[in-house]
Amino acid sequence: MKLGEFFKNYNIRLAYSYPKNYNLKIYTTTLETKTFKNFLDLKKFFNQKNILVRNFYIPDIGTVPFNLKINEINNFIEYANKKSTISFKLKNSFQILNNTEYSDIDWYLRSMKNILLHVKENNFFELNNILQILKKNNLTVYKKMKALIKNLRENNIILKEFKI
Amino acid sequence: MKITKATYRAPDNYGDTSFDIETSVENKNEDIVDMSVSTLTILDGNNNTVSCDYDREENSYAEKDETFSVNLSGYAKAYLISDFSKAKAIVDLTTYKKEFKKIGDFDIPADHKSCIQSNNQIEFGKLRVFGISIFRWDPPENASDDHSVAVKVAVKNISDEYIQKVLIKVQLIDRTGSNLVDSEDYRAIPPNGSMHFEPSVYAKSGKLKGAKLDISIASFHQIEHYNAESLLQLSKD
Repeated sequence: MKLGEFFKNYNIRLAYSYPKNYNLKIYTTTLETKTFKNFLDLKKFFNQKNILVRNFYIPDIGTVPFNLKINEINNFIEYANKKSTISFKLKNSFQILNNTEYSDIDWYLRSMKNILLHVKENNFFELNNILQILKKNNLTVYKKMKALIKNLRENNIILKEFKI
Repeated sequence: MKITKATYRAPDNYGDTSFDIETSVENKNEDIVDMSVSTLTILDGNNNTVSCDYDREENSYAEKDETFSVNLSGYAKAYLISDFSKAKAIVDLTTYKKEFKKIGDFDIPADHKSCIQSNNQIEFGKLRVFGISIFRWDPPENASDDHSVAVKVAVKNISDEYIQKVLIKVQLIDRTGSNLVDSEDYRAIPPNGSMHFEPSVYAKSGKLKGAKLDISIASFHQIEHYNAESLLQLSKD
């Protein structure tokens, strides 16, 4: 794959590049993943061609980590896109309870309240999994979660279908 | 902010080890978080620097009381850490709110010897946006290749606030109203400083006839700073 094609396919852009009117022929370079292991190698390649690049970034996602392997860009984008899903947020919110401090329970419940307002039927499986883990490991939070779900049924009618 | 995962991988055949850090951040402010910028620092047990992942900008979104997550990673030669059980990760993260303004729609210059100018400056929040000049770079050797249209605009920060990111976006709209391509240029502007932006777009010469450039500006302003640290654990993956 050519460098230009790679950038276009994944909507990867250059931040703070200099000079502005560099020779576009650089984009016809073949992207050999043996030569360009990660994005740091790409940055170095541009620098060798006297094009200074501070960052690579993808609009609506953010900067691309320099240590990201070229052939892992797909996973990076997929993961970033997943972050806005309810399913991801449910799992992520649950992480707050790792090494729980007292105040984290309130934080967890505040976070869950926001997510539960947008839960759909296809999130019931994950929600049920979380409740089962809580029932086994943290009965206090389990009871609070149950109460929260019951309270939010007025605000999110889909939660009425969720059986605890 | 809380670090929910801080792991390192056993060194590979080259003696490299990598670090994976996950954080959760709660927005307790009325302002909506639109962006986060974070730095990961890995230190050994004696606070010596081992690895850094810096300037990690992410389009994080969180309204009041919402939580968002940021993942960071780093790598280093394993010999930099004599005792992994004492190594730690420090995460510094700042949240930003976004302000946006459309500057206007502009024609495309007919050739590389003429230009289109806005002939006015505008004030946008803490920024002064000077008049815009639109020009074309010299045509390519092969006339059927893409031609470049660029925008010059200087922006002054008229406040005492350090503005993390000012972004000028240009969208090339063809004569039918379709968005052909877009491009941005972004930079930080220190208090009372000025910056020059020069985003450009490329298209075939024919596509530029009757096309317009939609130009807008966005700025990102600090809401809150967070930090957290955690000891590293061996990854189970």
